Amino acid sequence: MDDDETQTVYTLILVEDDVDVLKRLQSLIETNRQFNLLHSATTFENGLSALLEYRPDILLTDLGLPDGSGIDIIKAIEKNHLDTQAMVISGFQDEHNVFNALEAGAKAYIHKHDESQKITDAILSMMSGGAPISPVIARLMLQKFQRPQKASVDLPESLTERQIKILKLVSQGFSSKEISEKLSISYYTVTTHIKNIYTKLQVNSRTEALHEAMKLGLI
Amino acid sequence: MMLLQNRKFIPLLFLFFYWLCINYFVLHNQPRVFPYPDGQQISEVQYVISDAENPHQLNHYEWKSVSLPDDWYATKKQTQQVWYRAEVDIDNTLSDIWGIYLPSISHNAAVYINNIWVGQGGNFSAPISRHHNEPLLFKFSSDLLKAGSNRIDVRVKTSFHEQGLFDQFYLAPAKNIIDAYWWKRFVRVDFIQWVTLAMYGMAIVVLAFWVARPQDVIYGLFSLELFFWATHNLNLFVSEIPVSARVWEAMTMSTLGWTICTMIFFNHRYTGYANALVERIVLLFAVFGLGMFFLPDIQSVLHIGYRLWDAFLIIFGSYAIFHLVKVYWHNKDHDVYLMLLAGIPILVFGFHDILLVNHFWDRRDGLIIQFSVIPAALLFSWFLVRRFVQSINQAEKLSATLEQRVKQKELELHEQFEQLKVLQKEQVLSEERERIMRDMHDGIGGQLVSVITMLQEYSGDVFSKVQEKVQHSLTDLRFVIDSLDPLLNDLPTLLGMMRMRLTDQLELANIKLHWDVNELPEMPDLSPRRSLHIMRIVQEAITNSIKHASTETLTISTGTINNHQIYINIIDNGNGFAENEKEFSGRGIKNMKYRAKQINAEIEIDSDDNGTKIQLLMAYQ
Repeated sequence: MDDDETQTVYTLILVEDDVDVLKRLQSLIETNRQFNLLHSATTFENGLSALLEYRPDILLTDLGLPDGSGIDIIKAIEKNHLDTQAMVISGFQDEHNVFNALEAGAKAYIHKHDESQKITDAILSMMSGGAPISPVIARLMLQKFQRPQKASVDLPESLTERQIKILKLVSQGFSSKEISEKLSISYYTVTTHIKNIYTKLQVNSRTEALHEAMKLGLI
Repeated sequence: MMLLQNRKFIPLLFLFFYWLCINYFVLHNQPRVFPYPDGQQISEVQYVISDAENPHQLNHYEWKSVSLPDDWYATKKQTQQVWYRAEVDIDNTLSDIWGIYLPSISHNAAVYINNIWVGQGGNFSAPISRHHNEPLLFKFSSDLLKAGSNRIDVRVKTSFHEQGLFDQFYLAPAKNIIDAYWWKRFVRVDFIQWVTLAMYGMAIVVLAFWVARPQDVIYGLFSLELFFWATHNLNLFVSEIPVSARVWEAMTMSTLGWTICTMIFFNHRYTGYANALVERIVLLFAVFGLGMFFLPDIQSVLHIGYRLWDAFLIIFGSYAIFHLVKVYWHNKDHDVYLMLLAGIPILVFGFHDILLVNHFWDRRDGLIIQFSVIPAALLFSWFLVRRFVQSINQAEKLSATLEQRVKQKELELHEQFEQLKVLQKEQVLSEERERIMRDMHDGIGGQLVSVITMLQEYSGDVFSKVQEKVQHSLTDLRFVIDSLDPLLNDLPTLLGMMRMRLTDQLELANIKLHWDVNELPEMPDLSPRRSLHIMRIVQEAITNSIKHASTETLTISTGTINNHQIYINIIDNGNGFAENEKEFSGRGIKNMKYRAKQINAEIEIDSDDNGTKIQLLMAYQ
């Protein structure tokens, strides 16, 4: 009981259209005392209104919803200045979509078929500042930052040499721990770098979107 | 000194001396072009001013003496016809054919020997035949002559009274004088006739150039210039004019003016230094000159033409020379210098002719400006033909360049098309991968994952074997999908993803993995098929180590050899190849070798008690 008092409880909403997965995640979250599930939604509409209504600590969302994309729910966090951490429930081997979600502001991702322990670990890791990454995502990051952008857009953020080095090592299959050893930096520094890269990615992505909108005369 | 150092100054100085020389030969010391014929020269004659049409009507006139040449302008300004009479002693009349040679008369003459008509130049009624530029020779039988004194009557008629002229003439056997006659006739008439014909021809050719390229105005201008000058030349050899003398003279005058006018326009455009004001003045003047056609009589045509019009032409001609000098001074163009060399004689010869027609000069010399035009016409024709040829050459060169550029563009397009094809292929692959992934999402992949989760709740050999098999199927499925990912055409990333997929398997076997994958040069042909083969070879090697080698560590490393091969090493520290020969030489190795062969790679196996090293070698260049 002492533990319970000292532990932070995170409020959470869940958006998932696959009922089986939803049930499994629901029970998994409900049985963990660190989480307080405020709402479960199976549609984009419902998920978005829940996000705005409950302003949870954590948004756990699937991407492919029947009436929209989970990415747009994630974007709503930034738009409404919420303090919510978004996590993507990804399908089987779905790194490309996960990357799109990271661009939109997601902070982490899980696979919907991951073991229960893995899922709770991933959520807690995110809340304590961890940033999961895979070789494919690292490659997508490198591509995104290194590719010569549309000449007219001057993106605000670029990667430091250290960050590029880290992404390269990730893409070559090295774990964060191995990277910290290779570069003689702390594990924490590596994850901080990765988190910073996520932020830069999101900033650039917003700038690009703004530019696109201006070009189309929407703004 | 400064001027002498200027490299343009010396050529211009030379030009000045050239001008002086031409002046000297034309105006001061004209070389004799037409030699005296070998015959009796008759210069002391008698004359009467009379409109008589034959010598019989002259008997009651009072004859006066005169020495030839007789220029009527001095003594008989108002006269239009004069009869000359000479008494000539002839000793020897052996030759059959005789001739009387009149080198210079204006405009027409008829000759009578002992009162018998022997020939005449043409019409004596208006328009009077014009032989002012043409020598006349009349042949006759020696029967007409008698030993001793013979009387020669020459009827000379001019189309305009101020222009009458009768030069010394010759009486001799025809063969003695015919050469002199033909030579003068050739130089003054036949030659000019052919030149004029050539000018008309050239005018037509250049006109055709202009029609073909109307934007090249200078072709049109030069064609006009040639046409005007050729028409001006007609006055020198057409004796039977089709119009009245008044119109004829107006035409001769105005065409000279238009020639100068078009020449100035041509020079301006050819050199690229135009002066719009001068052009306007010259054009206005030339148009004004057409007014001469409307003058009431030949006297006004000649007075205005010779005095006013010609004076202006000298001014314009001088301007043309001055303009060329100025252009030459500016850009030292060799063409312009050649134009000056050709242009200066025109000015001097023209000046000579103006002096002549205005009676300041011995009119027996005849007009000479037509000769100065020949080099100019040749030069300008050459310029324009050269220009035309140059533009054809340039066009050919351009079209060659264009062809080359089109080829290059084609090549570029082809390349772009190839790139597009690659992109499309990538796009198709990516779409296909997404489709497969969607299928996997809740399909086979998800189900396999669920099966594994379910199996984990049970224990026992069978369950764990099934679980292992399912796990392998799942891993294999992941490899298939990864091989389709265009992002994974980078070998280290491909291996990185493999590591991620195999983490669970390795952890389960309690093997410490030493990961030493390094950046590698790009492999140009890492197709999905190739990727899958590589992943399966690596997986096979890892599986062998886990299953058969009882190893504690596993090292996976990459690198390059000799700058043309990439290697992937899978090294364990297990109990090696020899002890497990049967298993090792079994399906695993065979499979790896088969796959390596499929992708033109090599497999090297090095195994002993301390472990096994499997090396996959692939060329990248």
